Amino acid sequence: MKNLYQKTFDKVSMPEETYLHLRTVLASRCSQNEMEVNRMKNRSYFKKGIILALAVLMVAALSVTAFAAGLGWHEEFIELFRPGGEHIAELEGATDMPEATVSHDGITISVKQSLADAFGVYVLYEMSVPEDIVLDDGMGWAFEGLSVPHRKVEGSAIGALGGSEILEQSGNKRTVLIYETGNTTAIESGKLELFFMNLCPMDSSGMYGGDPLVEGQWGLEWDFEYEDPGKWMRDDIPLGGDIIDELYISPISFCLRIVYDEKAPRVNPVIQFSDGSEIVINTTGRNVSKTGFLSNEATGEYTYQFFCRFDELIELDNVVSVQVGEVTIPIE
Amino acid sequence: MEEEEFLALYDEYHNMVYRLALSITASPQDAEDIVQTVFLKMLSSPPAPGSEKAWLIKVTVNASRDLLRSAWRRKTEPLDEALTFETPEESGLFDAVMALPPKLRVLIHLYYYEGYSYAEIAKILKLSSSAVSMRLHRARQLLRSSLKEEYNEEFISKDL
Repeated sequence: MKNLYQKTFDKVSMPEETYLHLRTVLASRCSQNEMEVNRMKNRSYFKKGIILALAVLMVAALSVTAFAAGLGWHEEFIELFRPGGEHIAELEGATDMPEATVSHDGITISVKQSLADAFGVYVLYEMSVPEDIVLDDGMGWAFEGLSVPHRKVEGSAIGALGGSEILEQSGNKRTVLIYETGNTTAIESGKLELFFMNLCPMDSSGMYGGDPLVEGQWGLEWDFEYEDPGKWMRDDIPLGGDIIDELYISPISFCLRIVYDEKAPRVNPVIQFSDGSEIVINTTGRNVSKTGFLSNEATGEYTYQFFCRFDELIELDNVVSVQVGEVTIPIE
Repeated sequence: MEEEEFLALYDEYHNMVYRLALSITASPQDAEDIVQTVFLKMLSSPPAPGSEKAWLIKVTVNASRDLLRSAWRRKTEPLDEALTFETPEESGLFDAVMALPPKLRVLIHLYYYEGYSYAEIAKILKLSSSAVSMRLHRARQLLRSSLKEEYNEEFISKDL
């Protein structure tokens, strides 16, 4: 067993291209190592205050949770996004609690909350099914869709990452996050739509395609207005032979667009904060999408779009700059 | 940590981290993600010289567990397109291991691939030695049962 196991897993290795790319990223980070070391040294001065600070933070965290709930954030959204007090304020115009419900054939679906920035819409909904059905991960919609209004642009518009996640389920009730992120055109206010068809068990291929437990279609549409919580940079900035055309950053996500001639660039953006800390965006991360698309059919211009949703909300007011390759772009 | 020293560690251990992360997450993309996370962490909080491998194992296990707990985690992608094996036995074993629950996969990997003892695994995973022993026993039972469906007894060696 041991020999076979070792022989088998010897065949498993990281793809060469990923290995080399990540090596380049890490080497680049090494060159800034001195700054990191200085930061670590600075941290040691605060050791004496750590216990007190932790106690204060624990009280603050509890207060923020209560504060967020008090301001109407759904508990599942609080659990997912973990907003701090500053995020509640920054995202006030980006959250909504619409009254949208549909109910027939024993199934009721109610939208509880939405959150949006220019490159992502996140919708929380609750569903209940007939009481004789106990929901589990092996049951789901044969089709489930979220339709999001986008700014109309010339050229092609592609590249959204969408999906849904079951956040909570018990008995015949389920709370779900459905989202769309990273489209190549920014989101705008308008109508949001949810559409569902046939609640089915999972079939042998892992799809929800078994005989329907409840057959039918359910649709919801509601007015969607949001104040963009992000900051834009739209100056053309040279990057090697390419041009950084647009940069967007919000507490939720980051998007970078580079107009290029021949080969889509590989970039490793670094978000830099006023306290000296940084977020190195994980270019192979699961929350990242990279798309090359024809952005101007008349000139044949191509744009590379790099999108990332942050693992945790960031404090946008504390972002001072974004480093892209050798270029540092101030964020004001 | 000097760049040369750091990159040497990356060259030596990146596949170890990748395999371990893959064995826990069962997702090549998540495993790549974790390799980057782990080595960036190594840059910001370097381990003591001589303890790099143990540090990498612990941090990889923790990062993989955190990822599995994340509600944001993308559904697992199929592995068969990303990996090819020379023999049906290798392929069968890989599939059988990947079909185990994540908490058993990591034990199997640390024991059979990395060669750690029960006590060492217990320390890494913060479990008791008896819990490691019980889980490994359970994992072997499941593997044996799974492999028996496809292969004859000779294939399943005694130490499984």
